[in-house]
Amino acid sequence: MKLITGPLVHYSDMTQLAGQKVVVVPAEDASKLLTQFLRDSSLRQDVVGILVDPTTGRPPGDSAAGPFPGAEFAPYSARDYVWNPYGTGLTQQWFGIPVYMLTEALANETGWRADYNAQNDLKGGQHVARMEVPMQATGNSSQCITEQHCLPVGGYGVWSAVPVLPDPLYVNVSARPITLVTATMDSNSLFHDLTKGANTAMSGLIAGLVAMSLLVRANHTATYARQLAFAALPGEAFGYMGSKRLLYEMQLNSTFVRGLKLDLIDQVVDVNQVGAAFNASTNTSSFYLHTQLAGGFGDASELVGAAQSAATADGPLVQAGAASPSNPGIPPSPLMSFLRVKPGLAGMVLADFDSHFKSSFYQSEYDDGFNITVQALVDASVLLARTLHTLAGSPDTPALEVNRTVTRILVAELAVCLILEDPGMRCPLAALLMSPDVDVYYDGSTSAAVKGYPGVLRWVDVDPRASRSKPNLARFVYNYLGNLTAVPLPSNRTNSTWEGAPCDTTVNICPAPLACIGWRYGTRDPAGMGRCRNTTTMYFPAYSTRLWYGNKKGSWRWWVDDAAASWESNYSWPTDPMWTESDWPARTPTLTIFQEESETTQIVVLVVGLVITFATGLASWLGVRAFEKHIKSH
Amino acid sequence: MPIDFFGLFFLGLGPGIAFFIVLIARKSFLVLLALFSAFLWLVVLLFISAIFRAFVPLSSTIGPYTGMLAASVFIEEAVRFGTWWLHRVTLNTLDNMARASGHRFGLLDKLYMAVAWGYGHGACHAVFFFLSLLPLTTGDGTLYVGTCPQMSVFLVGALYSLAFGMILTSLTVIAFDGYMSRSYLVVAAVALLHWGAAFLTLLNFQQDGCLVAMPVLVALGLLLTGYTVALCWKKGKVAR
Repeated sequence: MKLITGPLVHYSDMTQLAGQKVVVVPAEDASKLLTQFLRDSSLRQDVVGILVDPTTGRPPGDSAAGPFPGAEFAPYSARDYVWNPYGTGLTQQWFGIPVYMLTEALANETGWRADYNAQNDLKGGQHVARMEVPMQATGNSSQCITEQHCLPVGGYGVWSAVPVLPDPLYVNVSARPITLVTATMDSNSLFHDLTKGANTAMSGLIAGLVAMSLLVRANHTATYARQLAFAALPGEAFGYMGSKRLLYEMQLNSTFVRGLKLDLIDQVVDVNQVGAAFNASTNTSSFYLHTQLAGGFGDASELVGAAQSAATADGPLVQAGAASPSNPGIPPSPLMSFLRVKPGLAGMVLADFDSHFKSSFYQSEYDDGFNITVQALVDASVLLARTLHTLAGSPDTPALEVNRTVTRILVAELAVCLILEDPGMRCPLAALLMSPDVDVYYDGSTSAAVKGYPGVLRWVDVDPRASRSKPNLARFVYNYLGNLTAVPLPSNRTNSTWEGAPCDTTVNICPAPLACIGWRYGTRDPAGMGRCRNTTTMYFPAYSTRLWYGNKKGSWRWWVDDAAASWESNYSWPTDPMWTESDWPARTPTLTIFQEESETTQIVVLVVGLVITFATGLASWLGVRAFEKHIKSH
Repeated sequence: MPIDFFGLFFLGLGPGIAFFIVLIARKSFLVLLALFSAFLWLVVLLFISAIFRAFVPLSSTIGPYTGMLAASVFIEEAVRFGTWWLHRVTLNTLDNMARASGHRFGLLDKLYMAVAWGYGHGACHAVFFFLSLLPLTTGDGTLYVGTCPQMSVFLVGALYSLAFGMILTSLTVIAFDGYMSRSYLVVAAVALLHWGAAFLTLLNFQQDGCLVAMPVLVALGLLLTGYTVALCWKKGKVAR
């Protein structure tokens, strides 16, 4: 339906050339132009499309989130505080024009064409960009979900318990208080599919996974007085969708969160952005411990104390201090969701920044990890492991011994899988645990890189242990944690024949409470199949609390639903944003760059052509008549 | 876009088609002759391209292109003499047939046949060098080269087709008249004019050269058409 064509004009020539234009802007100036576009009405009239050229270099800082991302979810009121200095808030704006990020091939094409247009002052054969953007969704999310022209933004998170939770059917143990560790799994940016979340998400996830690995390998978890749990949360950049959904599912006591009761959770440690902590000049990693001090919230001094003593254990290499008291409160973090629903719990955010983000690419396409160091991740993992060990340990628990070399290897292995574009999920570590879905682009190149954007949720799988059709990252985290935390079933269990048996996702399904860990391919050959293991690792879906996937009036589809409305108003949640992505026809949107003949020339040529054709016909006819008469007369 | 296609079609081929309908289509023999001529010249062009296949890729500069054009025109002029020979043979045969059946085979018929030979030559060039590109203009894009920002490649092709249609048709008629009256001057002039027209297109290599070359070629075509008409008129005067 929508075909928009306009001549290519460089950002630098924008003011000299009048009329409709498609602006080609280098990446460094993209945010500037987009912000200018929103304010300037003459730009709004003339600019019909924007093409961002990433080949000229990256901007010094870029963030599509606002200066205070998710300010409305904070447990304090300070809307003007700037956590994210480079934040532009562009993801919350409506532009109304197509904005494309160019590939290298297209960027090479647009450069000289825009130069040509400028040289010829947009006369004659102009080089134009034709954009086909037939978005199917109309109106807002409620409307398009009802009309089935869009799908909700969402994904699957994974939580795991260390040590394995006893099955309440068999063992009668009094439930222990839970220390929950959270990490963000994904991010957001202006160009969703190009999102990278190296520091925004992966740094915390890696630190969390490695810390869990260290604790399990140290083999003291059986002596712990507290239960540890780790949750990887998706969709946090979309109104804290993951943490909000996790809390709601706990409220419903659904199968996704059996064993993870909010009543038992009284400590939450969020591993936030930690990749930029290492300072090469001082050879130390500095971490900041953020807590919500202002009245009414749980006392987190135990958490802070544990972290500080953990830091001193690693000498001057690692430093951890409480965040500045002049901060209005905790930084943007899933902890905000937890404190909203249970203000009395003790919460701490571990981060590499104090009063504002150190990373200049929070929620950006440029957050690709060049400003992260393995050293920072190693130090964060060790710090976190020691902190949790202190918090969870009982008087019988021996001290935690950490081998830094092993930690470094664990961090590096995970960084190769989660941060690098290549091999991404085809890395050696993932190859032992799962077989990734590989994207094939139409130039033949393939990619299995971790996606920084949660993507859409087509349907909700209600089986918390099913790995089939789950996105790459969720499956990786699930299998990693499942493999890590698995222990043999207690000897008095009857179902133990399935334990260790080959399994897959379709035919040989492990009976509960066993989970199939490490399935790669096949249903017969044990070489590619997974094994049924006893682990408390589960998937949970993340999607807006105002949506429901189910069967009403005979069809399975998404519905706008207000079942969670009372829970939301109980805890004064801001209106759920209900993020969705529109459906598009196949092979759209498209961008075509070509040279177009001007209207005037075409019409003039046609008119002249018709005139001379008829003139020739007439002249010839008259001429022939005259000539024949002339000859006859002689 | 469709307007582009039809505009260029009418500009480059319209007059040729109008001319064909008025002059040639009335007599089926002329149609066949024009088609045969076009086919013959197509074979010649293919023969020339076969020769130059050995020189591919030809560097897109004036030097190599001048050489190629010089050789091609030389071959075409040589073939034109061959077509004159065929024309004469045909004329003699038809003359005898006419005498035998008692019908007149007059000057007008001979001129029509010369025009048909020439039209085949012009039409062949128009199809080979212009019509082959034309379907591309049905799409949305066009193509301009850096040395000619005023006209698209297709517009240059249309003007070429128009100009050379006129030039080649006229040159054939003039050349046949020259061969018939054994006037070496006329034959040499025809060859030189053909070379001249071909070399004029080399101006397109210069920045803004197309702005001079194409109008001059069209003007040359009109001039030669006018000369041919005058020539035929004169011959009509003295003919029996």
